[in-house]
Amino acid sequence: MKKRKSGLGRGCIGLAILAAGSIFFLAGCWDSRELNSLAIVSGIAIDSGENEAVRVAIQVIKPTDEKTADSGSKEGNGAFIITAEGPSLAGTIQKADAKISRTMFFSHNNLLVFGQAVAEAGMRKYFDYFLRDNENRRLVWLLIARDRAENILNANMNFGSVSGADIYDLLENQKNYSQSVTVNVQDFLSRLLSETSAPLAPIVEIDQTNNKIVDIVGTAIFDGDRMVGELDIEQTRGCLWVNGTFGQGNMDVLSPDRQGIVSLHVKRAKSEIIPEIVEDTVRMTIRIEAEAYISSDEVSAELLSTIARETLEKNQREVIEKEIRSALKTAQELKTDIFGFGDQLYKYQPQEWKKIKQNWREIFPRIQVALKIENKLRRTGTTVQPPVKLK
Amino acid sequence: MQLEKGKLSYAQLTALITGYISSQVLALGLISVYAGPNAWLAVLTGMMVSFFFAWVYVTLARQFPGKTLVEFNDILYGPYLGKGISALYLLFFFQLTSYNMRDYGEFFGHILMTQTPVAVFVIVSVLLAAIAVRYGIETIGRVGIILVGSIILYYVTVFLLLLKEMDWSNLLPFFSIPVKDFYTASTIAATVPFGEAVAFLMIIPFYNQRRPLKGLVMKAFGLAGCLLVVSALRNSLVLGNTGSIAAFSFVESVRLIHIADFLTRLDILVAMFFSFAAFIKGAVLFYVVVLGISQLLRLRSYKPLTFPLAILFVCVSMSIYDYFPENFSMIEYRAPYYNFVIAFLLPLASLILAKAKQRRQAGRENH
Repeated sequence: MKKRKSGLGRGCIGLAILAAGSIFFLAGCWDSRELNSLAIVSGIAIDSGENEAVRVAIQVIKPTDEKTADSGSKEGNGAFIITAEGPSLAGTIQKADAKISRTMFFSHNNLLVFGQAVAEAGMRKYFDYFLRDNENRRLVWLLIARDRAENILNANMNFGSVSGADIYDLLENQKNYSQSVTVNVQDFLSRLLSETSAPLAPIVEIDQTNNKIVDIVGTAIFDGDRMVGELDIEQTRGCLWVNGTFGQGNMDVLSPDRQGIVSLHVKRAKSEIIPEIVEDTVRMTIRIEAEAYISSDEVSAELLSTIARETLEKNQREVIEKEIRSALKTAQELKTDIFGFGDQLYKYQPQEWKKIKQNWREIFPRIQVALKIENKLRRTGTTVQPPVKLK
Repeated sequence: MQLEKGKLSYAQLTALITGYISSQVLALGLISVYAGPNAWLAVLTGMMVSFFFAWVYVTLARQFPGKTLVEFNDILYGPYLGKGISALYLLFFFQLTSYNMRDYGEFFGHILMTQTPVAVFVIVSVLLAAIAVRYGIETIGRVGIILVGSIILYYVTVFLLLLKEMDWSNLLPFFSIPVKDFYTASTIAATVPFGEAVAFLMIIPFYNQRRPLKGLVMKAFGLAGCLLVVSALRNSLVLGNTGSIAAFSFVESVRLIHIADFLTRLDILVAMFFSFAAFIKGAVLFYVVVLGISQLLRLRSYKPLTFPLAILFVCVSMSIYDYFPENFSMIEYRAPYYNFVIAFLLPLASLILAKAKQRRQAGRENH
């Protein structure tokens, strides 16, 4: 028994030493960093430099100023932007980091903006840094700036005092309108690593008519890591329909008498791509299901009858079809697989895919696409008749 | 002479085996490099094969009730050859312990605390394991239950939180990779996470035998296999083709959790999970090495060996490789040969020899 007791005593001493020693470890060892020693990054913009290969602009939040700016007491800027130029991305980011009195902290970054020139020259080499670095996350929104990326960070914001956070919210909110793609680093990477699928990213520019805020104007199409073309808003919607990322949003269709516009609000949409190889031709059948309600009837048409409803549904089908065909045409001209047809073949018909994969670039422009759109009009809103006097 | 007086209960041994096997998540990344969307299938195949390993271990342990691997090697192969073979096993366990400790350190060094020297994490985890070892197998078993419970909870939680990110078509095409790659992946799956459980031949003798051993081991292998399959499935479903470029693929998927801008940056969950898992594996292996050496050298107690070995583990862990990717190539190349021989061929040979001896003895008695 004596032996056991002494063993326990020693254990207690060991435990005490461990507990005391863990003070050093629990604080985070060499990695211990207090909030007041961090420069929290909210957005990163990458452009080609004037004299050197790359120019970065990094938006850093000023924590002390945030509160006063938020309360609306002043039209302040809760962040500042620091820029640097250099031959490599990591080196240039360090250069910028070294210019400020705190160490940059990237975990809370919201945005990654690439200038169009950089995107056209190829993004892979800059992309690698953001994947490799342990602080950077794959949930960061990716944007392509029409002009220079730096201007996007400098744009006026709608709310708050940090444009990075504001643009982040802007993109988060897009799912309610379904007129632009929203792509984070993970989404882009997944398409970049795919054998055929073309990466996409939203294009933004400064809206000069609206207090110089940021506006999403279309979608950049990539061939590999190089931007080769773009889709406008209408085509982007076509792309969203097919990729199954159409959430909800308004769409204008012709009224049953084709004299004016009836607006529909799509509440739910689903899509499915069914690949088919008949002899040597590749066919894709795209099935789309959509449900909508009427949000506005500008021609005061009677919309209660079955005929009216069916005509409206047919007109909506035409619009959806037009949007998709338009996106498809651009994609086939550019030979970029924005709908992920190649991946569908790879997933569902791997044997055939192996045979045709070498010639994919020749096959893709000739793919025939059949659309099967099943759209349903469900409701008329809170009224059943337009505001016209009953006869 | 009994070095260890503690006994393990049914739940404790099950927990230890489950935790021990399912902690080998680093191999999953390598498996997904080879098997792509079929990684989970490779793990499943590995698990099926490992049931045969488990059968070998259980039958072998039953031949020598109450005897550890080192003890029955002496009986089976004679005092000289037996000691040589035991030394071979112990060398394998020693290496495994060092790798395990280093992996733990590297995980923290890569993902969470990049500024801190890896040695800090290795020293902490070795010390923790050393303390556990000094308290004996029963303590490790008791802690094991709590930790494995948490590990299972972790797997379930992360799976649920990631449901939103899962794309089930990522599992397609079903079985389209070359057979050779699938074979490599399955071999890694069978010999690395499951094969390393050969260490339990040193621990099974301390099982209190209240319920049949065979069911226990099979259940534990099955449970650990399920956890690994779920882990591989989750990585494929969430990461798709992007999983194979990550150094720690089991972290990348958790990093993608974002629920309503609120539940994000859950890296700390992985850190907790990996700490638990690494502790179970580290403590069990440490214990096995210490006990094995003291039985080999016929010491009266294993405790004096603990701290000298701890220092040795730290030194070896820190010098085992210079460049992290070497770790993967070592798993890749040692799996089909080294692990296969130690974890499978040697126990199988021992079993055949034991059965043959038993039969001969039975024959002699009949005459």
